[in-house]
Amino acid sequence: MVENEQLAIETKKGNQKAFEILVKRFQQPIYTLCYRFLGNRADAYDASQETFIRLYQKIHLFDTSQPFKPWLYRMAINICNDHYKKKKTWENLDTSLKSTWGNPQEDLEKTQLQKIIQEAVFRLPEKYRAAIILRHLRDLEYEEIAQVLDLPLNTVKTHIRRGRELLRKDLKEVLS
Amino acid sequence: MNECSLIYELIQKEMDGDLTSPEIELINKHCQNCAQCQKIRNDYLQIEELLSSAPLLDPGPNFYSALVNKLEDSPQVMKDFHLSKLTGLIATITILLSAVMLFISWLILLPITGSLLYIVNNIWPIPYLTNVFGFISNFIGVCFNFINIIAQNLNPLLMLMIMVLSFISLIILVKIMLKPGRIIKYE
Repeated sequence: MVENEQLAIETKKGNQKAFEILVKRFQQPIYTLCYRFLGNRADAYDASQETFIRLYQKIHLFDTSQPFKPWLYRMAINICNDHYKKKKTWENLDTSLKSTWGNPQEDLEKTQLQKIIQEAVFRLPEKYRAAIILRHLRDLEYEEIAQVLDLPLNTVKTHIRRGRELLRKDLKEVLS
Repeated sequence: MNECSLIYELIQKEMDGDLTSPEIELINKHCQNCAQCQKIRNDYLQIEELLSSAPLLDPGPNFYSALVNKLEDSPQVMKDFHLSKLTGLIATITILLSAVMLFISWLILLPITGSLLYIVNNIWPIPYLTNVFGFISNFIGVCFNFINIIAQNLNPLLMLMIMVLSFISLIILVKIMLKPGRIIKYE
C-alpha cells in the first residue's frame, strides 16, 4: 500500500488518481469523526466534504517532512469546530433548534448502548469531546492526537482522562 | 494518598495502556478486596470497550463523485494560483516598511513633542527641533558606519558580532521569502 505522504506529494503535483485514493482511504474515519462531533448525518456529510475540498485546495501547503494524517485530521477538527459554532449561534437565536444527537431515521450506531454512549460523548465539552473521539478512531497514537489538537501530550492525556470521568458520571445509571 | 486514590490513578493509566506488569498485579490484588474500586474499574473498562468497538461509519457510495462535482464548481483560481505564494514577498515588504514607518514616526513625534511643550509649559521648542536634525544626521552616520565598517579600525570581536547578527537577519529574511509556510501557520 502506498504511504499517505507519498500520495500527498503526488496530489501536490496534480495527480488526480492519488487524490482519489486519499479520499477513499480517509472518507470513513473523517465522516465518523464529523458524525461523532456534530451529531447528525447531514452536518457530518457537509463537514467531511468540506474537509476534502480544503485538502485539495491547500495541499500545496503540506509540509512533506511531516506526517499527513494529523494534518488532515486537524483540518477536519477545525471545520467541525466552525460548523458547531455556527450551529450554536443559530440555536441561541432560535431555541426551537436545540442540538440533539441524530434522529430516529438515521440510527447509524449498531447497538442501543453504543448509541447512548455516543450521545454522552456529544454532550461533553468540545475540547474533551475532540480528544475522546480522536482517541477512539483507532488509528491515531497519543502523539498524533497531540499534533492534531496542537496541544502538549500531557494536556491531551488530561483531556481524555477528564472526558472519561465525565462520561462515567453521565452514564452511571446505564453502566452495569 | 490512600490506596484507593493510588488505584484510581492506576485505573486511568490502565485505560491509556500505560501500565507495567507489577502495577497490573497491584490493581488486581486491590480490586479483589475493594468492591468500590472494582466497580470503578469495570465502569471504565465498559466505556473503553463501547467506544473502541464502535464501527467506522460510511458516508455512502457517491461520496467521491459528489466531492469531484463540488470541486469542479469551486473557483478555478484556487486550482491554478495561490495568493499564499506571495506571502514571503509581502512579509518582507511589511518588515522593511515597518522599519521605515518607525523612522518617520520618530521624525514626526519629535517636533510634536516640542510644540506641545511650548504650548503647555511655554518652553522654547528649538532643542526638540534641532533633535530632528540630530536624529537624521545620526541615522546617516550609522549608515556610513555600516558602509565604512571594513575600513574602520574596530574591535575584531565587535565586527564579528555585527557580521553574525547581520547574517542571521539575512537568513531569517530569505527564509520568510522562500518558505513562508514554515514560519506562518496556515492550518
